[in-house]
Amino acid sequence: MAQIRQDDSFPQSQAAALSEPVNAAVPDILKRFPGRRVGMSRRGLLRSLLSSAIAIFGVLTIVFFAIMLTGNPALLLASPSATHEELEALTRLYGFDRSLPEQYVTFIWNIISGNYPRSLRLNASPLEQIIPAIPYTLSLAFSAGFIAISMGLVVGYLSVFSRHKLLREVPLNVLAVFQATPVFVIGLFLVLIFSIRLGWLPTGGSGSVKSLILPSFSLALMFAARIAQVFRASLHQVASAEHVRAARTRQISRQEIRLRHIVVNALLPVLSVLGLEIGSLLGGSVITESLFSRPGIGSVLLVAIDNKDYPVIIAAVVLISVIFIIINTLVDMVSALVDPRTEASL
Amino acid sequence: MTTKALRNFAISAGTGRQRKSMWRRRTNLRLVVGAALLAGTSIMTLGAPFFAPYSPDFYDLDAILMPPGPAHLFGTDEIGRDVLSRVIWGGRPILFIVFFSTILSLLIGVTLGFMSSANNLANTALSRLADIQLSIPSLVFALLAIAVAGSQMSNLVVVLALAAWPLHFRVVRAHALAVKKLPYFEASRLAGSSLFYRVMRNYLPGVLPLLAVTTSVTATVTALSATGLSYLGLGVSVPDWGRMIAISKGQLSDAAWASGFPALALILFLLGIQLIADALSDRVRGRGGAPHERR
Repeated sequence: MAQIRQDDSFPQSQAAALSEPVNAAVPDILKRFPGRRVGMSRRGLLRSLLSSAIAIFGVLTIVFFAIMLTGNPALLLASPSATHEELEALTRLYGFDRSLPEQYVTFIWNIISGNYPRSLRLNASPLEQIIPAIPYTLSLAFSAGFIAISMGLVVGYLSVFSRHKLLREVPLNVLAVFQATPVFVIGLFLVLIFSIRLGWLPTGGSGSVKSLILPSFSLALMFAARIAQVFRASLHQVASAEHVRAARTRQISRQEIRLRHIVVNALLPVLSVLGLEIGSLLGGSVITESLFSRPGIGSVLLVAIDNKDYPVIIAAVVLISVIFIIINTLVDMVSALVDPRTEASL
Repeated sequence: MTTKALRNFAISAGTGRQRKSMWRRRTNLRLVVGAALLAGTSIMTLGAPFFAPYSPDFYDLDAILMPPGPAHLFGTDEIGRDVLSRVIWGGRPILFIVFFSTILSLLIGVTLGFMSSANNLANTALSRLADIQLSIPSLVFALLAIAVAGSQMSNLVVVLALAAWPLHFRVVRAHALAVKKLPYFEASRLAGSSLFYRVMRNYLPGVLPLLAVTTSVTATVTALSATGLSYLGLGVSVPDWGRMIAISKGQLSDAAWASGFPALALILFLLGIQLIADALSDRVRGRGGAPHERR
């Protein structure tokens, strides 16, 4: 087997000669995959960081224009009972009396340096409400993502390789139905079964790991189908590739071909879809948090919208987008790390 | 080219042809079922005044939370309104929003997509714009816009269209950039065709199948966001499936019909769009009968 692996890794030496990997700290396990140059060029790294910085700027610009479109931003950001002096102070702090480009620069600088206007409801910086909520949202998003990936990969694998027609067809179509179901309907359905009928799991809250199960499953069921479909398509594609035919003629065992030659290579498109789906995952977490009355950025955002607490709304929107951009960049980097071909598209 | 075709033929000889026709049948089936679901829910919704047995706002305090029966086929809700009538009426906002918002996003995306093929500057700037739009989760973007501008129907349509245009944009842009390099386009340009003619005759026909896919995908995403917003109470304030579910979820354990039937209608509607989108994208991707591992 060692011999086969060496045969396989013929392009490795070529690829390694073309570009020197920067990351020496790449996990060993990645290096073991045959034929892969692991690592990321300095240029690719810089480019992905730059594009995420541009994206963050863009988000801030959108938020800026959203506020500007309402006419008088000072009135929006100050409490209804604010005195004339307070309005003046706010106007001066954010430079709303100056020209539009100047306002833009001041606004972006204030947001980046964390200098938000005070929350109207709590008269404190919005960050004080939002920062404690981040771990709740992240734990929900990560556990949902983990469940969705595991389900999607298993179902995708079965839909291609299972011997039984039922296993090939049924799980995929069940997931497709879940995909067309809004997250709150899935959530209510799960609550009805597992909390009300069976009484196994709590209907909401955030106390224990148990209270995380239902929210993450209802969120995950939305995305599992997407992952399964992409994985399935990419398994089909890789399975008909030249190198798989070559491996088959060399009498490598079917198991070995499936795992080492097909599945590993088919994982890459899943990774890039994952990066895109995280946006809807974060959006869905707003609804999930509201449904299960979990604390989190989404709940903070919804309460703020109810109270017309614009400073908090701005801070929450910016923060969710920044989290999304960071995760997306990380995903891009990982796919460039395992497949240098994707680096060009960063 | 020839060797590749030969190889494919060799691989798919025998079972391949059969499998391909099976695949066709399956996508056809999905397309037909999806279209039927979408048409059924749309017809019920559009013909609400004819189909609904009661007015959606008519309430009967003597018949609160009645289980489904002959008088009220789907039961009644917590102030005695007929659930069936409300389900029939409740599809209107989402149908309206999905329809107009998808068309608007198509217009924006296609126009900007063609514009981006004009020169390098436009290409870079517009692609960046699309990337930025994609880096705000669409539901969060919608929440921001609604918080600032209010949740009238027209706002929802515009906001959801703005969240969805990059998908069309990317497809059209890639296609336009590819076509630009082809001889027939150059010939058309040298023959002195107008810009309008080139867009209509040289660009659009090739990209239409892809646009059919992006349109159906956009429709699903928009529909999901729209119901999400109406569930959160940020949609329009007429009877609406998402809102009905949110209001009646308190009675989930003893009057499941009050939220169950709107949920069922919603799922059928969304499943209809989803099936159409899936079938179309399978067709266009043309991976019919992919010769996979031999057993």
